[in-house]
Amino acid sequence: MALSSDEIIKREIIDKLGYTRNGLKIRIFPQSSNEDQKLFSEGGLTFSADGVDYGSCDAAWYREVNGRCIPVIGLEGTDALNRKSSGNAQYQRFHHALGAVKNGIIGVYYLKRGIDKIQEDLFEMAYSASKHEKGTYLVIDDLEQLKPIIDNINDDHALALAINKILEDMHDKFMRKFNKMYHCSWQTYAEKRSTIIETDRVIKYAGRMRRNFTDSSQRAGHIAVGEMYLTKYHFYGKNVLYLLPKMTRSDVNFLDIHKSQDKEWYLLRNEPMVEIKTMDDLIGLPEQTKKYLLAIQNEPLKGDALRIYNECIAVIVRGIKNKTISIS
Amino acid sequence: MGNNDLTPKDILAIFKENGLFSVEKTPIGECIKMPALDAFIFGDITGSAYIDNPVFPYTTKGLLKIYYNTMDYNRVSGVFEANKLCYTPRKLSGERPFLFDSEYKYIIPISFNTESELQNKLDYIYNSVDRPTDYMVMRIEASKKGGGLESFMEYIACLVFRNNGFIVENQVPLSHSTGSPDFSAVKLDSISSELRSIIQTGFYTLELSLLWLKKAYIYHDSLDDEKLNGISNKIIVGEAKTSTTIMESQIKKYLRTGLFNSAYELHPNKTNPSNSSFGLIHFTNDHQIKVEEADALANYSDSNQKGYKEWLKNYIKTYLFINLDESEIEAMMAAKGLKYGQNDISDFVNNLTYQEIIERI
Repeated sequence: MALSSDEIIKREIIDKLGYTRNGLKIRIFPQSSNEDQKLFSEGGLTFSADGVDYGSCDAAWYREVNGRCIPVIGLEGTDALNRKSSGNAQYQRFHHALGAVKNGIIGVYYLKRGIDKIQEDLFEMAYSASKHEKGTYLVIDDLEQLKPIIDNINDDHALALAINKILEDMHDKFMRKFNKMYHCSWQTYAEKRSTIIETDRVIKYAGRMRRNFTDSSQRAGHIAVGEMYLTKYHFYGKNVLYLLPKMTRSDVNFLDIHKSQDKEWYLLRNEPMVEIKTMDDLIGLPEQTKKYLLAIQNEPLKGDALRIYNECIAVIVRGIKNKTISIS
Repeated sequence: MGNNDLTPKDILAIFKENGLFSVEKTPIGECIKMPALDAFIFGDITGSAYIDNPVFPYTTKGLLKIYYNTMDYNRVSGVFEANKLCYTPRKLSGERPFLFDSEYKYIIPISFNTESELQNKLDYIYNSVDRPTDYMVMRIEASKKGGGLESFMEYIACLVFRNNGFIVENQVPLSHSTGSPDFSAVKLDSISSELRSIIQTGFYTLELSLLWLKKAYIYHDSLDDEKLNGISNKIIVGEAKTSTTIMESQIKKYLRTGLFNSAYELHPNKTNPSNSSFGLIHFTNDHQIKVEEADALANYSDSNQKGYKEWLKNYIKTYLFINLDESEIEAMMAAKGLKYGQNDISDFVNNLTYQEIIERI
């Protein structure tokens, strides 16, 4: 059944943009193929930067120069907006086109227009990536928006205009939401979004547990990656501590060994300026709080487990803010 | 054939030796010649693609689905989108006339190690023939154990049971936790009786949505199996593998739902099923399709099956419904005080009788 989304998006790409356009060729594989996992330089659709291989793209446009394929655009597409993906699940594929952006080319995250809207945070994540990384990151909901990009790929000035138009629109959408929901205050944002902002670092906390990363039927592991990038790009330049207080160092070690090939875990552990912290890294954590966390370590966050977690996290956040708890 | 992966020669031989469709020489090599309607079904099941361009040839595989799960009417993006028809064979043929614009299509099985290798071959075909869309490429991924040919086994299983009077389907909606069975075959009097006026044989569920073409089906006697033919009121499930012979636990997962009367393993060269209560479909060394029956029936639940049968009746009715075009549907809904695109389309279809739809086709 999962074939539907991938095939729909890829077919739409070919139908709307063709298999060759303005001298650019497209590299695109059926879902059954594994070759997207290879690096672009080896015939695949994966981009690597700083020793980190990012998630593979669904398609890439390239120029053929003296027998070499030079990538120009990498695109990740999803039908998530038609599949009840209204919240932070939208962020989970952000890293797929990020590799292209970090390589200095245009990365595109295409969320096919549907019942739900694109979360405004996603626009700003990509806008921030465009400002700070080598390439440009565009988030679009209509493939028509790519036509002026592809058609002007050889005209630097026209291309810059086309790109900036999309980027400014992305930023505007986020700012409208930011002003309305958070009254232009990142502090208000942080309080509502499980985040603590400090001078040179930002702490994002979440109730993930080991099973979220080991059980493939659970999406929480993928969502964790999305949240990590959300934090990183909203607060670019700060070190990101991804605090998972329900987990222990032993859980992390277990995942390092058993999920070494898992893309999402790999990114969480290897993304520059991001560290995972657990309850074991909280110096000054009251013993009682630690006992409570261990008691709910493997429980999904609902009912009593949620209540206990909320009480524990209140202790931790208070402690970090008043410096009675530090993070090693 | 032995224990090796299926090759293009094997595929051609399977079609030839079982009298399925003829194998013919074409400007680009030996191909399986299929009537366009059968080729459409073949392509939808196996992912074989019409060479409408040399980079990403067109296939309907994955497009023509309706629901996520069984006994549920939550729709996937496919046949419907937001209460309107989206990808139906009738609509697709309007957008891509090549699907049914020639009497026959030619299926060429191509083995390749890398996508760029396949790309070169597709380039050659696309530029060598007058009508590249008369050709369909069947991918055999030599770099994968088993060649990535599970869907071909699904097709063969569908063909066997279809030709013995069953309603067949591959990649069947069941549930997120259980997974999607690769194959199912259904013979239910409650459904056959509804369709008797228009079809008296077995069929693929998707085939029911092709009645608007008003062409006769090719009915193959060659796979008529006395034992299968004699079965009635049964729901069968199957799991296909080519890279491994291990499929027992997955089949048991399906059987634990209590929905299925029996199960089959589908594997090119496995000769004995994992479990005496499973059947097996495989090929002999001389490419004959062999069906091994199970020694025992699965434990199914009457009460589970009751709900499933009701849902199946609506599900299959939906494939019949999508023969209609949007203006016909609009009129039907308006006649009942409903608005096409606004009122829930599944509710509307479920409340129709088979006869009401058949009269309109």
